[in-house]
Amino acid sequence: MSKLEDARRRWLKEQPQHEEFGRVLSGRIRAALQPLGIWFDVDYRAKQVDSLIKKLIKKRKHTYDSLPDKVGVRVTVRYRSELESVVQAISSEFPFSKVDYKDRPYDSIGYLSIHIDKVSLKRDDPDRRRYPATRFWAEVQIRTRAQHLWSEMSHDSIYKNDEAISELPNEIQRRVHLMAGQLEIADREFDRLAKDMPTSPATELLRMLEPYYFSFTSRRPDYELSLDILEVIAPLYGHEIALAKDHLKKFLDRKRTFLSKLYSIKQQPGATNVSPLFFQPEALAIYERLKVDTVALRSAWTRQFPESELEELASTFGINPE
Amino acid sequence: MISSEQLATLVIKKVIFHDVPNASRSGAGSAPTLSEIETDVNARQKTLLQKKLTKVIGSKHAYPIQFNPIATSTVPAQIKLLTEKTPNSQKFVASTQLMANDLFEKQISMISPGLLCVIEVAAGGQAGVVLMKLERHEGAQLKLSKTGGKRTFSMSVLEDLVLTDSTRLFKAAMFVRTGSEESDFVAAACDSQLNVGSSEDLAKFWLKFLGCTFIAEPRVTTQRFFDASVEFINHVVTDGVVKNDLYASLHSELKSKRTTFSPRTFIEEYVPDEYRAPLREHLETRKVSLTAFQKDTSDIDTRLRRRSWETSKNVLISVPEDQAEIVTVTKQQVVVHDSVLKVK
Repeated sequence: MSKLEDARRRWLKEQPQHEEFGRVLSGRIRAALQPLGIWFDVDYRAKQVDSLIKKLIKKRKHTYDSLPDKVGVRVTVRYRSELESVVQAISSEFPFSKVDYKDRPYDSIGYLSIHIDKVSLKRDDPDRRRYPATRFWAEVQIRTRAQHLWSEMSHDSIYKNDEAISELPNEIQRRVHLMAGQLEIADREFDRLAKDMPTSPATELLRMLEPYYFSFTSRRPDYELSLDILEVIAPLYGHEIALAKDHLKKFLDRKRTFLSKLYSIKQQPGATNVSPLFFQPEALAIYERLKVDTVALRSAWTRQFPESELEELASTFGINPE
Repeated sequence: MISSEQLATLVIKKVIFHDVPNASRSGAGSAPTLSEIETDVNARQKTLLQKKLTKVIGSKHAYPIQFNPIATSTVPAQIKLLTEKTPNSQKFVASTQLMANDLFEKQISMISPGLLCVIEVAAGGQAGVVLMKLERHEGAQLKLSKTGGKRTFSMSVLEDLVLTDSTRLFKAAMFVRTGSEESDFVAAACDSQLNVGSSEDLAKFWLKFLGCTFIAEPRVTTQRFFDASVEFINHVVTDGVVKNDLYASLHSELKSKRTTFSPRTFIEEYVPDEYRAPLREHLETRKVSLTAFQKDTSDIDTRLRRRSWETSKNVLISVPEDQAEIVTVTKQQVVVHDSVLKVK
């Protein structure tokens, strides 16, 4: 039996187990990243059999047992400035062999990403026996959304790697480089824009609430709605927004354990009594106002939004707003 | 007391209904109609139930309760049994049937017939049980359906009755086990018909069935003391100046930053000798304890607020804020309507 045929048979048998390992590991990674308080997305895959065979054909130095990315986990974040904190969180939490910064020289542009090779479950993980590090590992890729776009778009195209690009006519090569450069500029600008945006009490509150919110959930909120609601809520804290932020922080720190548990329950499939506003950062400020001054909140809220929605959210937090 | 954190993390596990008529009104031979299996509840209905429970158990009409060690009710034993370890369906049904039969025996004289709803829950990961008695009009028939040869009330039939009619009267109680000991429970009860403290049989019925007693809550104790004292000042104290002084002292002490309040100290410090004993007796007859309590003025906040007017000759008129409209101020005079102004 050829090496490839042997690999095909083994993978057909073992792939479901590796798929399950990918699910377990991505869950652990998600939990490890939650305290960072940033938005992120984690997905995973165990290679399809055809993809595995193709990889073995291309990368001849590898055997079935040494192939580094039979299981892949991808972490996507919004901003470049968040990449390093993700690398730190994963590399300090899980065993791995190498952090590979796919950096480029100053005169080269194209695929950018950070790979952490051979990431396995921790020694004290309850599933470590089922998925020992000697057989089960994954390549973890960490990217921004812009880097992910380049990777996804180039995946099916011939400009996937430098070797392929170098064989293209000069004019086409130039266009590929220009496009990659544009994406990198956009990526850097998104990062800077996020820091340079003008502030208002509502945006300041939102920035303060976001890290708490993302430490409880990765669900992307509707930011337009966030600002609409926070514009109504911000005046309830008086003129000193710095004091308001400080007060809110103290409140949320006190309630962190409860909120973490509540968001975990309400994210489970089939969860009941979940207000549509619960997965919005401003829900945390509304919760604080429900606890502190329901009358003022209700009065401000009903001038602009349906009372029933406030009641639904209050119920999700276990509060009778009457 | 059941906390909002516990209500937020409430998970509904099993639900069952039993129809319990009024023994004395239905005549001899009447008996509860008992479900034989639990009721199917979908996600939407669970959400409605959770919302209803948050409104009821989280309302200011809900009061903390505890098991009464000398109670004759079967409820405490069944609650302990159901929360010891997750009951299987059979045990759950049997246990709730015992409670329904007990309710039937206690449901006499003026007590309306109703549906007993028992819900097995988890709150904050801890096992709990919710009991609700939903009153139904006499003569109203509820159809039982059969599932696998066993009878049960379907949730869809009961949905309107239980969950969407906000005016319907009902009684509720929630118990959450907090530890392995017999007494490791937090619990609250609510009766939409009655005020706590009423001495009527009707008021005691729900607690008697639950086999529980009230635990006095700060806001309740504070309100009771305030009401009884104001009543004493208005009806027993005849001297206008003393009346005013006592009223001002009562307000000032209740509004102070101290977190506890001692009726005994208040009497010693502010009440003139001749009124001390009468006030103590008055408080006793109103079942207000003289021992110190945790102060919580949230239920009397509006009554503690006052509005004052001072004339150019330093005459001060002060009235409760919610009655401020009885005072009219014009250029030359201050008129107090609906009141007789006594001048000493």
